Amino acid sequence: MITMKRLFSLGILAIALVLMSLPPHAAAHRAQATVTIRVSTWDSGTGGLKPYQVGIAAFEQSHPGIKVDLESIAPPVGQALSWYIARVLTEIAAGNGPDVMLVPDDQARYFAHSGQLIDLAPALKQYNVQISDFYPNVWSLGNLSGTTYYVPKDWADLSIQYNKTLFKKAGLPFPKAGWTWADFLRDAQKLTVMNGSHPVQWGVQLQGDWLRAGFLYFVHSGGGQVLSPDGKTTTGYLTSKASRNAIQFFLSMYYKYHVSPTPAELSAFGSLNLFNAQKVAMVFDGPWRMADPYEKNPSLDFGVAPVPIGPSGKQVTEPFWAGYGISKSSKHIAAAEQFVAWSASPAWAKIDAVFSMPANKSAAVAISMKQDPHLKVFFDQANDVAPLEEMKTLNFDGDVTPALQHLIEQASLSGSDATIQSLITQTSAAINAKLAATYKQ
Amino acid sequence: MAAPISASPNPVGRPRRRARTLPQQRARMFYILILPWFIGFVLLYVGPMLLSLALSLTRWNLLNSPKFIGWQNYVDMAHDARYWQSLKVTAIYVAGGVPLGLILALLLALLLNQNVRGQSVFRTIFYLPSVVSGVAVSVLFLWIFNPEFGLLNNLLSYLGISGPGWIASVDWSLFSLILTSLWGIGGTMLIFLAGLQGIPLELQEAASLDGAGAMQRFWSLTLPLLTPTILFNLILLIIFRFQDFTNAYVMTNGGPLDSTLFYVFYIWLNAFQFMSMGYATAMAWVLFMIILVLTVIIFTTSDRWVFYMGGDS
Amino acid sequence: MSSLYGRRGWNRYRVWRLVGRFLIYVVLIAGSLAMLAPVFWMVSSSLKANFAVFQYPPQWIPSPPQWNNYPDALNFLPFGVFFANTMFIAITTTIGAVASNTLVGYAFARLEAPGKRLLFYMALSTLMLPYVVILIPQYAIFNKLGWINTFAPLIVPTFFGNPFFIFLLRQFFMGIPRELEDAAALDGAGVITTIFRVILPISIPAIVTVIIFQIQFTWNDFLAPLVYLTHEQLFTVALGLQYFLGQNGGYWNWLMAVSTLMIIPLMIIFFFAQRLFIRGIVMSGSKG
Repeated sequence: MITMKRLFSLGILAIALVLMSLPPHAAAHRAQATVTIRVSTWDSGTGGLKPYQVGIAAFEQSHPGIKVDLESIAPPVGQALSWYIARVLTEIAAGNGPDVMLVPDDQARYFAHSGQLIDLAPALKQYNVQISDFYPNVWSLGNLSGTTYYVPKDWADLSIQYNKTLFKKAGLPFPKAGWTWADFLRDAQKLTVMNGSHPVQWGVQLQGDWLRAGFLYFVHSGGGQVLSPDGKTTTGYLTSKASRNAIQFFLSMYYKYHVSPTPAELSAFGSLNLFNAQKVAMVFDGPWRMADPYEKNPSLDFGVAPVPIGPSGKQVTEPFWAGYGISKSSKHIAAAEQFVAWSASPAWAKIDAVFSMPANKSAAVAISMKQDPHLKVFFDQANDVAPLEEMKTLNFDGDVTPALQHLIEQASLSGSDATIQSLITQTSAAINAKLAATYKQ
Repeated sequence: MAAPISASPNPVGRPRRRARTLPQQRARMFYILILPWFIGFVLLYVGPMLLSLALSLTRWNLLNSPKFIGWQNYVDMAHDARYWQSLKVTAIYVAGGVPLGLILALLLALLLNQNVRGQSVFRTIFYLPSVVSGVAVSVLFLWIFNPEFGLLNNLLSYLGISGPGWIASVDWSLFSLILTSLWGIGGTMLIFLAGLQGIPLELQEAASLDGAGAMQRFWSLTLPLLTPTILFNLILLIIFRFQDFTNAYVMTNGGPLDSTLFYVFYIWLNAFQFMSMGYATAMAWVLFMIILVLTVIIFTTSDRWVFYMGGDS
Repeated sequence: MSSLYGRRGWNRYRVWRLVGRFLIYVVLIAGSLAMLAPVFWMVSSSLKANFAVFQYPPQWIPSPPQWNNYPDALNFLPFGVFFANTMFIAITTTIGAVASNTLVGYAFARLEAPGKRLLFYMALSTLMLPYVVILIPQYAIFNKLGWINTFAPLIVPTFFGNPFFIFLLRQFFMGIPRELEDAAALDGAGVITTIFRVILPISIPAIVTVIIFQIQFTWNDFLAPLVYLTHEQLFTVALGLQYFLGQNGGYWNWLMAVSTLMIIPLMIIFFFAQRLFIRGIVMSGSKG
């Protein structure tokens, strides 16, 4: 029965429980002498965090007096990174940002040029970081206008993974280095199998809305650009002959040749890996899915080829990377610098290279990744990596990406050779308007 | 259960004070009793809400200081085609999903209130979907709605029907999301159940004895007594559906071609991807006003159709 | 008006009743199938190898069933810790929710005071502003209090009322006939006593609803834990679930396995709680 006394005790219990959930007094935590730096990353889980923990343990041992507090995040499905960025931005906006942040390529420019990060060059010199040990194209990704803002943690690039079984069935030779767009399109067409008007198998999975693995690759490989070097306009770049031809080629694979699922169809598949389910014969992708699930799938026999060469005649591929940057408002910059400098060492690069590839050449060789036939192709393209479009402008995600994605989606659904060029012109105008608004302030 | 209160030689409670009148006493009790909510409101909401209202007058990328720009965000909204698209999409979603949801939940609650065998089991089954973690639901329904390989079109093909593009189609994507939201209607159903259970049995029996059939009992007795619950579910379903966002975010990413660009999803994009927190905040406040106005209208007109057995306050 | 024929056995009333009953069963079973099909798929996926989860044509019954998915998924992360954390938060928030909202709900239902309607709208209005725009100011407040990376931001606010529950209980309380409270008032009972002695006992269905909702909400909430908890030892089950969908492809089968496990406690609680939805509370002293 409910009595006042019982209620009173319940109330006391509740208050006690609430108080228990409050944090212990901060001073009890650490001895005064040590400095604690917060490092945040979007990797998660026991497996994902293991390399960090091993590396951090070694770092703390060799640097007594510095403790590293690793903040991870358990990102919701799909847009893992955007939740990570949202939380980091929330923390910074509330004045509680981490000391060292792992920043993905899409947001790299953003943090660097809004004055959030310090120049790492002095620290790198002080701690004798061997910059020459890094793949030059990869190292430069962390630089902006001559200032080094990031140390690359790892990197990857784009290649074609192809299904050997399906190629054999279609009687086609496997793709090999030096193959061209024309070879690629021809293969894709032969590998698209229809059942009436229903595709049963597609020749290739073009990555649609994922610009870096699709649209941008084709533009760069075709010899074009999206933005001017100062990032302020698309006129003469997105609208150059080379870019226009490349974009038309790319989008015609959707609306004319139908060799790939459209972006809408792709997102409808969400969780299904089409390549793994052997519904597509080729896919533009990085190395992340090869160990799992592709190599674990007993019925999948696949190979890796470099991306085809476009009209520019040069081998061009797109990079993916993430780097450590140090926040300007950190209270422990010296300690943070030691951490970042240490993370550039080949020793940690070796431990770190779980899902991606180390940017240190010596580490890559040491773990004989290059000898792995599947991974070798990725490393071989190290010097063909194009600079990132996203780094050119402050707010690529807001000003440029939506318009490009809209172009791709629209063209894939209802495009034609007759209308595609005017669509490109409209897109260029839309982006220019947004850029003008951003740079006006 | 507690014994009913009857006249007893030992009255409970303290002797009444003569100093205040009863209404004044009760008013004082009101303010005291709502203190828990009021304190929390002041500490956790007033500040943030006022701050966000101020922020809607700024341009802010979260990393640098906000910059005051007056009404510019609101003007930009009026000219933003994507904004109007998101408003349209959300309005359709609410207008379609809320009535359907209410009717479905009510029907289910009525069904599950009958004394059928296995009542507990059925109730659990219908409630079950609403507690499945949102992540799993999204993944499941992506699979169900996939046009090529999904379950739904599979089942339809057995019936000889060639299913539409569902999630991948500009015309059907929103409907797919409405259906997904209906699957989780167990919570609304539960509230209806609680409301039905609150209708005293004697009233039902008395009506029966008076010769009222099942349908008549429903319209004249059950439904009127259920109106407080209906009001609750209606208002809350509107408030929540206007702010739905997970499914768009996970299943369709607002597409194809913005056909499922939910309002709060667009706010999210502006806040954390397009680095326009000020703009996002302005959009949020417009939504707030829309929902508030709708709620006030429903409340004020509710006196005409809602019947409280305990009398109006 | 039911027409009773003199004969025993079949009459129109009985036939209709039987048909009605049958229809009810049909609808319930059909509905159950629709509701359960995705759940069945979820469980079936949880027993497949990862690459086999999304295959075409769809395989309803996994063969062979990979029972090891369950222990594997649970060992991938410290789910024991996650579970304990979630239980702790669920219990404390439920206490907070019931305690605070009952008082506030009753006040809004029965007590008159100037400004009451306005205050009610103010309470409801906090539900109308999308969370994303008050996220940062609230985070800043909690940061000032030093509550980041603790359970406090998740638990303490529930002791200060939740407009959803306030509104729910208000509606319910307003539906209770006044006779009982009047009788109690005649006995000299004050407001608090009336609440505990008179109102609460007959409001069990509503209170149980509050409990079910609060537990369910806490169980599945990932937004607040995502923002405020930065260390793995404090994560909840809902957060742990997200791990399976990390950067490099997902462990769909494990995701489904843990999702299945997560439902079970909620179902058990619900199954037993809904028996408290006792039909027709007898109230002596009322008319008729």
